[in-house]
Amino acid sequence: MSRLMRSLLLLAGIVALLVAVVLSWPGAAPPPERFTLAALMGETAETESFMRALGPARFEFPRDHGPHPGFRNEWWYFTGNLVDETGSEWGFQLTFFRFELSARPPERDSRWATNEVWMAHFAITDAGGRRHEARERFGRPAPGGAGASTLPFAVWLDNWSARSLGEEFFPLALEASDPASGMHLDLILEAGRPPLLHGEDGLSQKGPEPGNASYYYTLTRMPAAGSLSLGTRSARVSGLAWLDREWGTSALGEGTAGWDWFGLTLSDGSDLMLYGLRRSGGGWQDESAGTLRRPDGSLLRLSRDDFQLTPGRRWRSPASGVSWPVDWRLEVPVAGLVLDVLPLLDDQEQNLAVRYWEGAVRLLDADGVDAGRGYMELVGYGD
Amino acid sequence: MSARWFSGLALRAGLRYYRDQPAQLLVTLLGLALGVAVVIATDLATGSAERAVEDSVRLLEPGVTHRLLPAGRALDEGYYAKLRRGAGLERAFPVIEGRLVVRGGDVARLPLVGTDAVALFDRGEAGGRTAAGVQAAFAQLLTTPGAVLATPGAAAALGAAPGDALLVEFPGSGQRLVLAGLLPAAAGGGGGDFLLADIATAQELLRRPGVLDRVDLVLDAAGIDAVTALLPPDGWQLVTLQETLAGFDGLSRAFRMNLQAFSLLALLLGAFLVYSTMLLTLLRRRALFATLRCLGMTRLQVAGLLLIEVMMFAAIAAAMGMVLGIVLGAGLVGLVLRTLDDLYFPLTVADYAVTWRGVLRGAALGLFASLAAAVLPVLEVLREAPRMLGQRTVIEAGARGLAARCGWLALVLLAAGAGLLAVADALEQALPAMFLLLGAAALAVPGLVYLLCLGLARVWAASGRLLPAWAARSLATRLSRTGPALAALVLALGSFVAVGLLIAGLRASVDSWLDYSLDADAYLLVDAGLPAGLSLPELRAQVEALPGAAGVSLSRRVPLPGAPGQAVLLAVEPGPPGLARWPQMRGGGGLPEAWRAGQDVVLVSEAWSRRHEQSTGDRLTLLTPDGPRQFRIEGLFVDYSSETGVVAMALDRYQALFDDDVVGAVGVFALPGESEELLAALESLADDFPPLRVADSRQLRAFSLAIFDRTFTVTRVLQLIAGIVAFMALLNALRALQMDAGRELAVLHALGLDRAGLRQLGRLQHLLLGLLAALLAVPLGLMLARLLTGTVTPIAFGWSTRFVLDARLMVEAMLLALGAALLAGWRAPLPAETRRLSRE
Repeated sequence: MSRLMRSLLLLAGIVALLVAVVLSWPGAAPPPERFTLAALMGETAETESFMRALGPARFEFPRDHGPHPGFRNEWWYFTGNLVDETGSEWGFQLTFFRFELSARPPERDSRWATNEVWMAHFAITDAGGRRHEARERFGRPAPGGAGASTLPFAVWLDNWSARSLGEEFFPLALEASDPASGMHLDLILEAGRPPLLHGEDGLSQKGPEPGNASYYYTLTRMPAAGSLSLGTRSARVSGLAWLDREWGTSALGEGTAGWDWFGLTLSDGSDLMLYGLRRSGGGWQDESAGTLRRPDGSLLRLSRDDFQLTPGRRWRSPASGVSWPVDWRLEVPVAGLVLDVLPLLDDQEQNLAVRYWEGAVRLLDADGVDAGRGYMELVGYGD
Repeated sequence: MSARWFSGLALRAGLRYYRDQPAQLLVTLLGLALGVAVVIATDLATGSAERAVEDSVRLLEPGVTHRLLPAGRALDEGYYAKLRRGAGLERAFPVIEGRLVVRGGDVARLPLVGTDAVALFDRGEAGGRTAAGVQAAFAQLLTTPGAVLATPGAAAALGAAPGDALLVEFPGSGQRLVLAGLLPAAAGGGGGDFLLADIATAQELLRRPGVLDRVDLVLDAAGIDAVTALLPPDGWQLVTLQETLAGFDGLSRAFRMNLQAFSLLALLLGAFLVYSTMLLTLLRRRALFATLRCLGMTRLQVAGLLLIEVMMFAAIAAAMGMVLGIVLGAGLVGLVLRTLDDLYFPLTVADYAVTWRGVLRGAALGLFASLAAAVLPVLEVLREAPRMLGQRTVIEAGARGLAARCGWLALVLLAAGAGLLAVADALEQALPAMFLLLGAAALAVPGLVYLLCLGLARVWAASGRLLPAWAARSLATRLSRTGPALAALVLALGSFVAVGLLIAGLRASVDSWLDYSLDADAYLLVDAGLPAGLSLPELRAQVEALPGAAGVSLSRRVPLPGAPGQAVLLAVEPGPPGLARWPQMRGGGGLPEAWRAGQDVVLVSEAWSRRHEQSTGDRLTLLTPDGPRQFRIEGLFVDYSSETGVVAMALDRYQALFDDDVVGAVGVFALPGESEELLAALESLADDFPPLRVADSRQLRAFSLAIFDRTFTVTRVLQLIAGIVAFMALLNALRALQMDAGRELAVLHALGLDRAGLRQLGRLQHLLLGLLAALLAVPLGLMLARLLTGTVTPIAFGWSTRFVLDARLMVEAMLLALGAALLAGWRAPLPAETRRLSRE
C-alpha cells in the first residue's frame, strides 16, 4: 500500500472518530431553575387596594372557618401527629392556600376567568418506615377545580379536600391522595379545644407598618382517626390534629430572610405556637411572637423578648444540598419552659414550588423526658 | 521507477487537465454540490418539521401521554371539572386553539393557544419554555383581559414589544390584546410563531366561551382506568399521544416521501453530471493512461489513482453541498412547516436543528453517488489494452455499443417500472416505480439522440444541406461525450415539466372544487355562537328576507366521532335547487335521492374512500351519542379540504342523531345579478348582531387558492432546482461537445469553411442539442406528470387530480434548453486545437 493510501486511511479513521464523538456527545444539561412565590406573595402596587388586617376582629365561628374574599392571602393549614396500631408514629400535613390576584377584578365572559389561584400541599411522614413525601397542586376555582365554602364548611382542590360531614363544622373529613407515590389520607377530625387566637385577639402583626398583619387563629388537639398510606405501607392511625387559619394582605418585609415556626402540643396539656422571623443580617425581627395556652385555658402572649430559639444540629439534604437546622432548643423563661425539639425524621424537606422543611417533631423537656409532639416549619434556608 | 513516481505524475497530469478546464470542473462540482445540498436540506427540513410537530403536540407539557377529544361537538367545561376531581387528575391541560388577526405596529395572522395557565404554572421547571413564560407573567395572564404571551417571532411580526396594546381584527374586531411577555425563544428560530393565553382569555378572544377543543393529559395506568371509567357515553375519546402522532405520521409520510423523492432525483442528476465529467476527462486522458500502462503501471494502480481523484472532487463537492444544504434547509424548513401547518394542524413550535446525522448522510450519499458514477468510465478505461487506448474509433464504437446496451437495459427498466406501477397501491411502490421509469428514460436518451441525429443527417443530406447534415452526424458520433450530460438534461427538464404540470393540474382541480363547495355568494360565520336572543330559525328568516336573497345553505363541520385523527364529519343542508352546486360527485350527477329522503346515508370523500377502501354501497359505522350506528355510502364526492377524508350527511339527520344544533356557516345565495346588494344587506345585518361575521365567497376563494399556492411553494422550489440542474447539465454537454471538436473543425476549415462558418456550425450543433433534449424532455415530462397526477397523488393524498396540458410550461422548457444552448454557443471561441491546426 502506498504512503498516500495509508495517509488517506488514517485521515478517514480520524474523521470517523471525530464524527462518532460529536454524535455521542451528551447535551449539557441546563441548571435546574426554581421559582419562588414572590410573584404571588410580594408587595405589589395593588396591595393597598386589598382588604387589610388593620385592627382586632371579632371572630365568629363557624363563619370565620370559611373563606375571606377581599384579603390577598388565606390558608387552612392542617397538621397532625398520629400513631398506628403498632405504636409507630406518623405525621401529616394538608394545606390549602388561596391567593387573590387583583383587588379590582374586571368583568369577564369566560367561566374560566378567575381572580384566585389555589395551591395545596400534602405530605405524609412515616417515622417507622423512615419516609417522608410531599406533593403540591395548583388550581383555579372554575370550573369546579378549587374553592372554599362556609356553610357547610369545605375547602378543596381537585380531590384533595377538607369538608364538614354535616351542618356543623365537626366532624370534619380530610381526604387526599396521590396514586403515583402511594400517598393516601383519609381522616375524620373531631372537635378539640376552642379556637386559640394569636396576637392581639387574633390580629397577628407581621411587620411594623399598619395593615402588614393577618388574622390568625388555631384549632388544637382535634382528635383525628382514619387511615394513612405511604408507598407500600398503610396504617390505621389516631392522634391529635392542628389547624392553623390565617388570612390577610401582609407581605414579608424586605429584611426578612425566612422564619422558623413551631406548633406544639405538650404532654402537660399546654398548646404552644411560636414563630421567629429571621432578619437577613441575622437575629430575630421584633414581630417574632407566640402564644402559650395553659391546660386551664389561660393565655400567655409571647413577644420576641419572651422566648429564645436556638438552632442545634444541622442536617444537609442530599436532594437540595440545603443544610437545615433540624434540632432546636426552645426556652420560654416566663413560663419556665425548656424544650428540645427533635424531628421524627431528618428528611422532611419539601422540594415543592417553594422549598421548605415541614415535619413532625417530638419534644423533650430539660430532663430529657418526652414532653409532647408537634410540627415544625423552616422556611428560607439555602435560597 | 516506483509506483509513487507514477502516482505523482498521473495526479499532476489530472490536475493540470482540470486547471485547463476550470468551467468544466466548476459546473461538475456545483451540480454535485447542489444534489448533495438538496438531499441534506430536505433531510434537515423534514427532520426539523417532524420534531416541530411532535413538540407542538407536547408544547404544553413535555410528558403528555393522552388526549381527550370531543366527539361531534366541543368538550363541555362542566365535564372537565368532574373529570379532574373524579379521576384526581393533576396534570390536565384543557386547550382551545384558533387563529387571530391582530394589529400591532403591523398586522399578523397568528395561531392562539389557550390553556389553563395555572396548570402550566404548576409544572415549574418540568414544563419547559412555555411554563417558564407563563410563570414570568402569571398574574397578568390570569387577571388582565386579553393578556397574551408571544414568541419573539410573533412579537416581531406584530411589531410589538411587551407591554404594548394590540387590537384583534378577526374574529370579531375591536378586542384589546396586551402583550404580557415573551415566551423564551426556541433554539434556532424559524417559523412556528404563536400567541399563548390563559384559557379564559383565549375563549374570550376566539369568541368561543364555554368551549374546549381538547384536553391534554399525563396519565399512568391507574389514571387511564380512572378517566375511562368517567368517560360519558356520548362518544368522547381518550386517545394516546402515539395515536395522535401516528395519525399525523400517516399523513405526513406521503409528504415526506415526496420530498425525499425529489431530493434523490436532484442527487441522481448531480451524479449524472459527475458521470459525464468523469467520462470526458478520462477520454481526454486516454493517451496518458495508455502511456502509464505501457510504462508498466497496473490496472489496479490506475484505478486507485482515478478513484482518489474522484473522491477528492466528491469531497470538495460534498463540503460545498453541506454548507449549501444547511443554508437551503433553513429556508426549506419554513416552507415545509407552512405546508404542514396549512394541511394538517396549527404548528406552534419550530426549531431548525442541524443534525450531524442528516448532514453526514447527505454528504455520504454524495460521495457514494460520485463513486458509483465514476465506476463505469473507469472500468471502461481499464478494460482495454494499453495500445488501444488512444484510438478514437474504438472509443466511438464502444460508445455506440454502450448506447445499444443501454437501450436494452432501458427496456428492461421500463418493463419493471411499468409492472411495479400496475400493482402499486402505496407510495413505497409508486415512487420506486417512478425511479425505475426515470432510469429507463435516462438510459434511453443517448440511443434516441443517436437515432434522431442520424435520421436528421440523412434527411438533410438527401435535401442537399450538407453542413447541417454534417453537424447532425457529428453530434451522433460524439455521443460518448455528450450522452450522459444529455440524459441528465432530459431528466431535469422532464422533471421541471412534470412538476409544473402536477401543480397546474392540482390547482385546476382545487379551483373547480371551490366552484362546487363555495357555491353560495356569501357566508355568515356563526361558529362563534348566535347573537343573544336570536335563534337559528329566526336568523334564517331574517337572512331569507334580505333584498336579493334566494335562499340559504347550512353546514356544520366537526371532527369525525369515533375516529382519532383529523377526519371530518360534514353536515350540510344544501342551498336552493338551481343555485346550489355542492357536492361535486365523482363521476358527475347531483345529490342522491336517499340523501334527501332522511335515511341513514352518507357521502364520503375520495380520500376517505381510498384510505378506508370503502365505496358506494358499503356501510360505515359512526359513533353517535346513542352508540355506534351504520350508514350506507351513497356516493363519492370530490374534496380537497382533508387528506384523511370527509364523511358528509344531511344536516337534519346529523342534528337528530348527534344532538347538536350548532351551525358553523350559513351560505347565502343571491338572486341572479343581485349579489352586491345582498352582500351589503348582510354586512349591515352582521353589524346589528356583533358575533356574526360575513365572508364574501370570492374572498374565501382567493384565500383558499392563496393557501394552495403557499402549500406548493416547496414543490416550486424543487422545480426551480430541477431547472438549475438542467441548465448546468446543458452547459456540461455543450462543453463536452466543444472538446475534441477541434481536429474536425480544423479539417473543415482547411476545406474552405471560414471562421464565421465554423462558428455557425458550432451554434447549429448547440441548438440542435438543446432542441433534441427539449423534444425528448417534453414527452418524458408529460409521462411523469401523468404518473404523478394519475397514480402518485391519489395514493399520497387520496385526491383525484386533473391532468392539465399547460402549453406555457412546455414552451418554458424549450426556451430554457434553447436559451442555454444559444448562450453557451454564441460567443464560444473556436477550440484552441482548431486555431493551432488551422494556422499550420
